[in-house]
Amino acid sequence: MSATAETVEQVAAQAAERYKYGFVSDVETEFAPKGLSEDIIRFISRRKEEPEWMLEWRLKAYRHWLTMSEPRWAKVGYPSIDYQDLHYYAAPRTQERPKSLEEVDPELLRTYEKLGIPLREQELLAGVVAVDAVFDSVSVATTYKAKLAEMGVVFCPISEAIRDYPELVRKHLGSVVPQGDNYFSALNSAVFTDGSFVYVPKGLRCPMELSTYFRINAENTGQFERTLIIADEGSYVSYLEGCTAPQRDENQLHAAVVELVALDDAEIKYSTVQNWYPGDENGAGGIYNFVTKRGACRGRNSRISWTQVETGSAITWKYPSCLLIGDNSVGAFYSVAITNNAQQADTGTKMIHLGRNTRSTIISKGISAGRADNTYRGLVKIMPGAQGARNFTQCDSLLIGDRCGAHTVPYIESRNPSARVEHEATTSKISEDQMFYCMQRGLSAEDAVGLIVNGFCKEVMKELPMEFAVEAQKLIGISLEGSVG
Amino acid sequence: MPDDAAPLPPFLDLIDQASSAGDRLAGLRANARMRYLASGWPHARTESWKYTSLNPLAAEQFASAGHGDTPVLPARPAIDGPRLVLVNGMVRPDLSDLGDLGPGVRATRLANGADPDVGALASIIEETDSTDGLPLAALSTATIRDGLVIDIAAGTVVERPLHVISVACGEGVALAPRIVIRAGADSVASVLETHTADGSGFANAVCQVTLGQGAVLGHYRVQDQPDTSFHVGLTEVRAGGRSRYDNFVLSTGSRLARNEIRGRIEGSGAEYRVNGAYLGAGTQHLDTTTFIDHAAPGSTSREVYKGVLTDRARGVFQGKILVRSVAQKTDGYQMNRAMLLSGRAEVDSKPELEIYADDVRCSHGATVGELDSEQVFYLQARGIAHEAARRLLVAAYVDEVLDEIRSEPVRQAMGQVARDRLGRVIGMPGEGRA
Repeated sequence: MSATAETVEQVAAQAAERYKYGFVSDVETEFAPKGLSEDIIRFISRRKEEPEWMLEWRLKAYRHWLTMSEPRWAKVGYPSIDYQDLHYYAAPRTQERPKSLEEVDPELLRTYEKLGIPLREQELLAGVVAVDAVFDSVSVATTYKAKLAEMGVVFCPISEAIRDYPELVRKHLGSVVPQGDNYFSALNSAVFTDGSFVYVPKGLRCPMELSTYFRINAENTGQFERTLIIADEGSYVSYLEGCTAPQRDENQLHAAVVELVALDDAEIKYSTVQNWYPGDENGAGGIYNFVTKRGACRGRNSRISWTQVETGSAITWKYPSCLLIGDNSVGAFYSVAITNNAQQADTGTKMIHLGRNTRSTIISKGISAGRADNTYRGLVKIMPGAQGARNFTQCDSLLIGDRCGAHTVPYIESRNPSARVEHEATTSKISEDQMFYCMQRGLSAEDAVGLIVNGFCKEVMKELPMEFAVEAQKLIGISLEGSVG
Repeated sequence: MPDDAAPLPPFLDLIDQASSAGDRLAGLRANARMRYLASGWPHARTESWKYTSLNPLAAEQFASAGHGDTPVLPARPAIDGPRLVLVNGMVRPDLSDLGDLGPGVRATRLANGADPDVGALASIIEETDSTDGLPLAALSTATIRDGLVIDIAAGTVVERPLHVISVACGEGVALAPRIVIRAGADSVASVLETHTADGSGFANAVCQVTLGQGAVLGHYRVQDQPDTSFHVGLTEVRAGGRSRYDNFVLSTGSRLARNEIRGRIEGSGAEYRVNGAYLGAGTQHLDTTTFIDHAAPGSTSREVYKGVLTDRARGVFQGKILVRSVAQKTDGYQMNRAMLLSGRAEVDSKPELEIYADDVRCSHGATVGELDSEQVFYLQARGIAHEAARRLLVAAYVDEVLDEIRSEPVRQAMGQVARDRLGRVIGMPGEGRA
């Protein structure tokens, strides 16, 4: 092969690698008309064949949303969103929800294969991960459903759960994130179209990782999924979430709500690798990722941990939080947020200590490159009843280049003298010594940065399930491309 | 919801009372009144006042006071140095050593001083309170009647600290004590400010400090007003290249107090230190808010605050460090520690970093907790009674932060005030008030 051809190939490969999920699938899609009104909400509810109470619940949220104004306190900047210029429902056009993978549109299956989620193989091979694939607004396939059902685990699209387990959904939906909690949760409550529902019965350790893969495909849509996970007494579940979207010049809104409920002695481990399209080098396009995630440790000795690797999105604005209600409950937040080029992130967590001897740990690693702004914002609140509560927070920021920003805004509110709260934060850059050491051993500048950053994030990465850790490590390298030299 | 016509902020009557004076500060007051009206009163959703509600202050009635009687000056802090006294915000030459400040040091009055250059002073004064989020500084300027201007000539070395005492004299008085300190290039000096009151007044103090190239200034402050009074104090500092600024604030008094220090480091090689202690009891609300703006490369800032809170006292700490993209090689450190001694005390802490330069070292930390029971046990095991052990440990905890003060006489004088206060609030054997 001639040298030129080789170079061309390499460049092409690199461009593809930069955001390899940026393709658009040619799937016939059914849209709701643009705009938001009570009629649109009725349309969505009818499409989902929902019971009357669900429609009322949505309308209540919508009416509340109309009275609210968009929050502006975060350290992110974006033009006003025209909520009337979005499709609130986009679904691959099929007659009915497929009974098996054979009935799924082959184009869809190819999409998930390209994304590295081969649904068919998952079904055939004895794997360890069960996947619910959500395409635009609806869930297209859920693997291993039957096997899980044998053990009593419910893992299905939330629209199915509303039909099949109405009492469970009604009891818990909105109990952690109320409809009117904030502007985007109210919007989501009104228009959410799908998402995953998980119920793990008493005393069961869920034998496989549950996973949802979210994909925005259609143009001019917003994605509003809703996830509800309930871990009954003494159960354990590990849940993974991945996200991608095509490369487009427009900005798309993703306003999801995730609610976790852990009862006595239950544990939920929630991991996210967020790789929505970040926009190009100049900041055109990309996803606005405005998500409300909250878990309630309702029971004694319950545990919830959030692990997130945030590399995508034009703007990431979310605070996965824990309400530590049960005595001795434990909350954890492990986060890596990488922003490059014109990306913005304002992310962190809230740990609200209500029960006695509740403990929380926050480890946040922010990496900022290009012209990006990366903010950690977090709240640790100790209520008067939280006797013996304990929090440890560590926030480290790494700056690559002198045109980016790294910010740390912790709020600490303590109302119990027996509680101990500690917060530490540092900001630094990759030292010349570290770079020199790596490059002297033959690594390119980019590989060296990837290696050093992976080391910087190690405390968080080791919290990820094995299946995701490898992918996340690669993502870190890719998202920092072009940040050195 | 759209911004409706905001309600008028309180204390416009104070502005009216002050504006009738018709002195050479009238223009300043009139401009400040407009800024005050434009910015409005801080409300619950004003981020910089998130943890400190000014509603209890707004609910009170105050009257703009005249010179006042001759007050009893506080015995503490006791310091050997020339004294400059303001009563109800007015300089009192009869109580001050205006003419005995030594060579190179000059103190003049804003109201009718010999300084013809009121324009230059006005620009310093107006620059501060045009800053967003400082409506109380605008209110202070809108009610200004006088002020003290301290000039330290370039190269002067002042041995003894200057002691500025601001007293609120009378029940329900409102005062706007104003101090301007201009430290010339390569000068060395220290200033101790004491804020007290003999009643339930409202002191809205502003101090503006400029440090020339290489100037060294120790700037210390004791806020020991009665627990029925209000105190809002703003210190604004502009630090030149190679300058060294050492600030310490001991906040023990007032029902509601804010100590706010905003510093801008404008030259490289500066060393900027702001430290302090707040000791709250009863239902006191003590707020410390700091902002450090690194606007030049190669400077160092250090900030350590410690709080002790008992009964139903509430402590607030908000500290922000901004490192601009030009400020490479900045070294910033910030720490807030709070100790809660009662089940109903509360502390809210918000340390904040905003960084735009990559070659910097910045860190901050915060801790909240109670006395370490292991340490109490250690002392008890050696025959020290439980209460005495607790007192000893609290005193040691406060002493540690007092060690940040670089001026030895000031450190000793502050130590006495702190021990007095702790003696009264947690039954420590203080040295009594003289």
